[in-house]
Amino acid sequence: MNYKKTVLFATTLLSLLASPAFAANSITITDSWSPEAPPVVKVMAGYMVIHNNSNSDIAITSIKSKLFRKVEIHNTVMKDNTLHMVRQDRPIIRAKQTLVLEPGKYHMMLIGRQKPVKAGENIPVTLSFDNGKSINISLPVRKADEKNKKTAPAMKCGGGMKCGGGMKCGASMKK
Amino acid sequence: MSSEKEKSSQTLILAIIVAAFSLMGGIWLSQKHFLENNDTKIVPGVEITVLPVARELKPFILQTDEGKPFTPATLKGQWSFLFFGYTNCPDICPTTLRIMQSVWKKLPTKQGQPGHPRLYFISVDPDRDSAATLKSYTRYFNPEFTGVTGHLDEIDKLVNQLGIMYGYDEKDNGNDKDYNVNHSASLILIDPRGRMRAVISPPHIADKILADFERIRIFYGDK
Repeated sequence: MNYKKTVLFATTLLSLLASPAFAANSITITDSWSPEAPPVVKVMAGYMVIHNNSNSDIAITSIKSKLFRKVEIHNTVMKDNTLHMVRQDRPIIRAKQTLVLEPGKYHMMLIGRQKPVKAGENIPVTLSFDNGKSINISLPVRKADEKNKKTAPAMKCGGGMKCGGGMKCGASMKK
Repeated sequence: MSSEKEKSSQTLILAIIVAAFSLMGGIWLSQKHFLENNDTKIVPGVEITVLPVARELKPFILQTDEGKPFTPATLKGQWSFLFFGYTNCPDICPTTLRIMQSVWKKLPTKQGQPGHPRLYFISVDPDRDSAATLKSYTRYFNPEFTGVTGHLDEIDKLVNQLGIMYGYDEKDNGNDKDYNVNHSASLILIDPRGRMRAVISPPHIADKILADFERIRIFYGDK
């Protein structure tokens, strides 16, 4: 094992140890993070895994962050060869299931950044659920070069989702 | 009689020699033919969608983030990747640009060297994306990446011929500027003659894009 690998291993171990988990009995949130965004833009993305440990479905009723004007959960959905951001008004985490927020799929959209946020800093976020509970979490902001080897999986528009409106369509591709 | 035999065996040898030469010549010619006509062939072994006939681009006039014209002529002379998006895009655009940044890090060529490609991030949201915004946005990912913007009707002239689509959600129903832009997430590869050569559809994986691009570049050449 060379020096680089040792450092990588140690860093991974450390980040695992330091990986924050936030819990409010029925809900646990892990793997929260946010990729550093170009300073010029006022929107950022947030990712995390929400675990529902209970025997009933739980819906997210609101998300707030003091660093952003508003926070929404969106799903990136492929429809007619176009990616749509589909806002999820009350995303549901099924009983004993997880909702995974990751690049190219479900993600938090942090809108209207109030001040610059750089790698190494944390974004505080409060999630409220329909069982009356709320959880304060923090999203460590990281440079994401290595984390994003892959993205935008082939997606399908799920049942009952509202997609699009006002689409402009170019000439269809002949393959 | 014996001289007759001799003659016929000489003729036979001559015929064999001629046949061998024409065979060799034929092979040489077909190889030459093959190399010269890769342009209308599909490079084997790549996963991305390569057009059997490269598509010439019809005129459009846009601007780079440094105020220079961006037209079909801009795309001549080197391979170019085109990606369409907007800077207020939180998820797919930055993720794709980060992937292209890791492709760039692994390219065997450096800026200015033959075969080194360019990347243009073309905004389909010119209302919010000024040249200055695009410049600092694209340079954040890689100093070589260039933003492009312009009038919507000129953007349409380009996207319509590439099969790229976009549209706006909730642009008209609020007084804030939080609307989303839906857009194709495919990368378009333009050849050094300024023609559309391939479409790279998601999911985007840096190593695959790099491998396919190198194969395409070698097969079709840098001119």
